Amino acid sequence: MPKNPNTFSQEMMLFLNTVSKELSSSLDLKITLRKLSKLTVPKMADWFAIELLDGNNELQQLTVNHVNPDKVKWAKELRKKQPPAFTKDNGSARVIITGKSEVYPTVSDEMVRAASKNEEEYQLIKRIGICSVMIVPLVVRGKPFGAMSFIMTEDSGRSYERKDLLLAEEFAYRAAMALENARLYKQAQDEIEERKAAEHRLEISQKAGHIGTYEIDLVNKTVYWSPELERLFGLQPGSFGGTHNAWFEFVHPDDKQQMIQERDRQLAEGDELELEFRIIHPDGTVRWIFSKGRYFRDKNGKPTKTVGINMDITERKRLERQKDEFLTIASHELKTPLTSIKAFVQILQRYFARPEDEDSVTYLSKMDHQVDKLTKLVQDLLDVSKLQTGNLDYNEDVFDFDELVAETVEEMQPITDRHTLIHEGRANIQVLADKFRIAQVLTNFISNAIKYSPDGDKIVVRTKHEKNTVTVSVQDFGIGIPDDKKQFLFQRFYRVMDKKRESFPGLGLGLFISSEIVKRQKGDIWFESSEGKGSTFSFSLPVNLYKDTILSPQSKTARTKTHD
Amino acid sequence: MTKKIWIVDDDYGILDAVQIVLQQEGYEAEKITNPAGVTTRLENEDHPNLILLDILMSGIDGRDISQALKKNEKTNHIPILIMTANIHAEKRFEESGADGLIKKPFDIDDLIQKVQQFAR
Repeated sequence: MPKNPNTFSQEMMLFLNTVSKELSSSLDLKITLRKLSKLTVPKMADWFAIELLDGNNELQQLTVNHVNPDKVKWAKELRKKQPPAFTKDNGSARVIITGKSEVYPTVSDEMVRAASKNEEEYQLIKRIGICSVMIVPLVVRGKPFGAMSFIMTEDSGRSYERKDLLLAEEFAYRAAMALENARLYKQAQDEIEERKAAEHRLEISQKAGHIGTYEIDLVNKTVYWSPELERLFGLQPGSFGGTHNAWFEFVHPDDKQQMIQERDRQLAEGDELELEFRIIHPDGTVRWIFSKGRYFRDKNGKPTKTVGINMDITERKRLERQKDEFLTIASHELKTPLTSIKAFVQILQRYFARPEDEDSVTYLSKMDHQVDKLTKLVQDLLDVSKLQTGNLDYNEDVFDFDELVAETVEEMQPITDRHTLIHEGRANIQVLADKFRIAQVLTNFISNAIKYSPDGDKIVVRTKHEKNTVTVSVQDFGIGIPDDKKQFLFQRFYRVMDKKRESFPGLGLGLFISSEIVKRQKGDIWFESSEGKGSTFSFSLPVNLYKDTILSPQSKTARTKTHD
Repeated sequence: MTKKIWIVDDDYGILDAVQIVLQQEGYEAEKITNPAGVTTRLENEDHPNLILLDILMSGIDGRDISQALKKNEKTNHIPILIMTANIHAEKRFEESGADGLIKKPFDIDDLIQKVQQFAR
């Protein structure tokens, strides 16, 4: 390096000025590295390398430059064969670990041998002809993240002195800043790219799914709509007014009040919102919208913002209506012939009800039961369709719970000649519920108990009233349910098979319908079962909801409905 | 005096069966296959003690007949028992303004019990 100290200082200042100017002119990492190399070789070194520590604690050589390109090639080959380990045996690694610069004014043969892992490496270093070395750490916010190596070779014969470290460290300080800026810039660019890509993906999927997003600032009454939401409302993208009132104007006049009531009801219960309403496009077209969103509140619990999606469900609504119409017709068409078959069977039963015609009465009674079964199947199919659309009718009334259980047990006894139905316990309470639907659940339990205990001879129906609950359980001593099948029992269309993989008759709807009915009546449904020993199915209904309806026998006609 | 019951339905099987059952119970049961003619007939004939009325009939809605009879001062005293296979039976019954409901298919014992309850 220069011999005259004054000249050196001046040159150093000039060099550092150039470094600052050059490095601040670009934020691109590749350009910055190339500039660092050019500034260094051959002015400061015959050979220059930058190594950075990556996320896996491995040294990545980002740039290497030498006055003699052949030597760069040799060095790269060596590095490929023997990647440097991040240990104190490696000069760059050691500088990064300690954070302290190192300078070797002369490199002796012994030093080369000590630094070489093997003969090949030794020979190569000798061929490169290293004679003087400086390694300085690259530090950002006190943390070393890489190292710069300045090397003099036999090509120029120059060598470093301790004072050269000052220049090298100053250079490394500026380089570290430039590299960090380039890294942050790249990170910001990547994030912007990623966000753009995510926005693009979102826009495409919103368009494909006809889903629009919104954000309503409830404090400032401003509304953001995504372009697809504008399309859903029949607007050109970008033409929506952006205010709460502008949005509300689209809602069908007949749905406005109900929508507000429903929104307030849901908001009183939580932060999730689900609404269905009609809107009118500017051209007069009426569309159905499904809206799902979430509310955000301030620390006093006051809603400040709501974010969510809107979906066009016009087609779904049309299909629902079509299905409902179909069910109405199907119900009528299937039940009409059943009505007259049943009536004629019963007329004949009466006609043959004479001592000498006992066989005919038995046959007709069997026919009557079959008609009932067919009626029940039709009813189950219709119920399950109605459950799907939430249209199952419930008619709540006050009734004597024990009476209902006793009646149902009595009606079910003739279905089986193998089992005796035993009724134990009493609830001694009047309840408010849909009597027909509750009887439907109990009937389902008993008919399952009969069906799944072909070798059993009794079925026990137990009623009890504890605290605020009435419970009925139906116990059979039949095939039971294997543990691995228990989870499927209340699923639609699930049917039990026995060990021989033979299924039992039925559509697999009874328990699904029962559980839906019990849930709608705010009750619980469950079972206990042991394979080969039998099952006990139970349901309970809350009576605290009906406390005003626990009536004395004298006031049996009073009616109070305490829930929807 | 024998009570007179009109059975208004568009299904001949049901009309026949209900007529037989009611006749066996001692009622004078008449099948009416032209529901549209019910109101006209009521203007000219003696009123029945009960009308059994289907809802979904070919070309005519039983609810309309029921509502018309219940609105008319001359006929609103006639009890109407809706018999329907409609899946929204209760709702349809409420809309009809009729006095009673029996869902199809029914047990003839239940039918007889309802007829005894409403016929006057």
